[in-house]
Amino acid sequence: MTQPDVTILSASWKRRESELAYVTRSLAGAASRCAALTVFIKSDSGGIEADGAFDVVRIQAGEHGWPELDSTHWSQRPSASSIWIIDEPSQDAIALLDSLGKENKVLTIGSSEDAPSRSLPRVLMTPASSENARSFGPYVPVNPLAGAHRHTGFGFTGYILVLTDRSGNPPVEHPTPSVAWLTSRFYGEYIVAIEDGRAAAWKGRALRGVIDVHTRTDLWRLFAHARVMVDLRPGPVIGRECIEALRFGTPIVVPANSVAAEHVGHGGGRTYEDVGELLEVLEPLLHEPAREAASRRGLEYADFYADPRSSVDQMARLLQGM
Amino acid sequence: MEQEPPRMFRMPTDPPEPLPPLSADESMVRLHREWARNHEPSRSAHFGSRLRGRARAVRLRLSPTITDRYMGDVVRAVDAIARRCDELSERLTRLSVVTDDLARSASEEVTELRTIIEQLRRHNQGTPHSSDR
Repeated sequence: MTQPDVTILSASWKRRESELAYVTRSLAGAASRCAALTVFIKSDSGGIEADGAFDVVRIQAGEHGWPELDSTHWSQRPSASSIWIIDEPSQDAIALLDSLGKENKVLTIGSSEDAPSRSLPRVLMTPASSENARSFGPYVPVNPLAGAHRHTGFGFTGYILVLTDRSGNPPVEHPTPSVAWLTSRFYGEYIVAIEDGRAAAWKGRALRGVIDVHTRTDLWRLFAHARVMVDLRPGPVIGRECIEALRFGTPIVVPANSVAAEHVGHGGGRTYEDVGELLEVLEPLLHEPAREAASRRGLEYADFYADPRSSVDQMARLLQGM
Repeated sequence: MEQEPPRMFRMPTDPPEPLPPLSADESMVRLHREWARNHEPSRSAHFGSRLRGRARAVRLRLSPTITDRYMGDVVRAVDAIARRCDELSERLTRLSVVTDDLARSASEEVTELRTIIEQLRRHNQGTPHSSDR
């Protein structure tokens, strides 16, 4: 059987800290095992670059984004007949599709926020609800050993872990409003708030200490030993940290309007619409057996993201169905 | 939530570990031991030593020097201060526990009340809370 031809157009490839880049790379990895893959990335200069397992084709983007297809910036032309996967379906990416008259065999990863008028089919990244529907679960690795030893910076476990919602480099010593509400409502509980690579422990409305979170393993340790994880602003594509927490059996609480609410839909936690509801839904999860039940369901659900081979199989089925 | 978030405390309200009683402090024990050694009959096995000790104790009782009297007063005063310190430290410990309990219950209950007020406000404005649906 011949392999399908897949073209990935990625604007996020080099933004290593973004979740979109993580998912795009994960998807490219899976596609490379079951398809003939070409990756085009938006760049400041042209040429071909070895990037990990991939030889990516750099396309020099102008101020309007992707250049037109007849431009000399395209050292290789993307095949019009191949399956296109676009990470950021922006106006310029859609213009590219339109110039080829390409309507079929297109999938997107991110949402079409700057081109809402043209909704392209997105890759479904949660378990499909029906047998016929096809979805792709990007492999979300965690180190199970992180569950064996707690983070040495704190001398306690069973805390409420909060990934905060502020941008930039805020001083973690001044809590985000949600953390202030949480430590006031759950006075006797440790609230560990993580932002910008630092974790601040609050208890009884007072700061108890701040530690650095140097590595992903540090973060996993904090996930693994939390009683509940509250993600105030989950990742926009899959809510990666939420999946990681679920993989350690830590229930999650996430905004109702976030992508991560999909994960909660299968029982691994709760959603909220505002801070008042956050305090309300969190309370039962701090006690057994509600926490235990959510933990178990979350673990079962997160299996969807736990196996790289299954990820490749899902990608193969997805591409065959197009 | 539109309300201002609660203010944080500058210091934890946790009650500290109770202070060890001052009257059991090593310096106090030593003071009493030395005082007793000098003012009580010797418990030495030798008859001569016991006799000398008893004679010294009797002499001190019958005609204490000014220094002896002064030292006796100092020891009693130190004892009284230590007892009072222990009473105060016990009261402080109890007070810290009460303060922590008060801060805890006030914080949790006021936060809950503020949440309920917010829900009612939303309800009155016709935007029901999702958990009401």
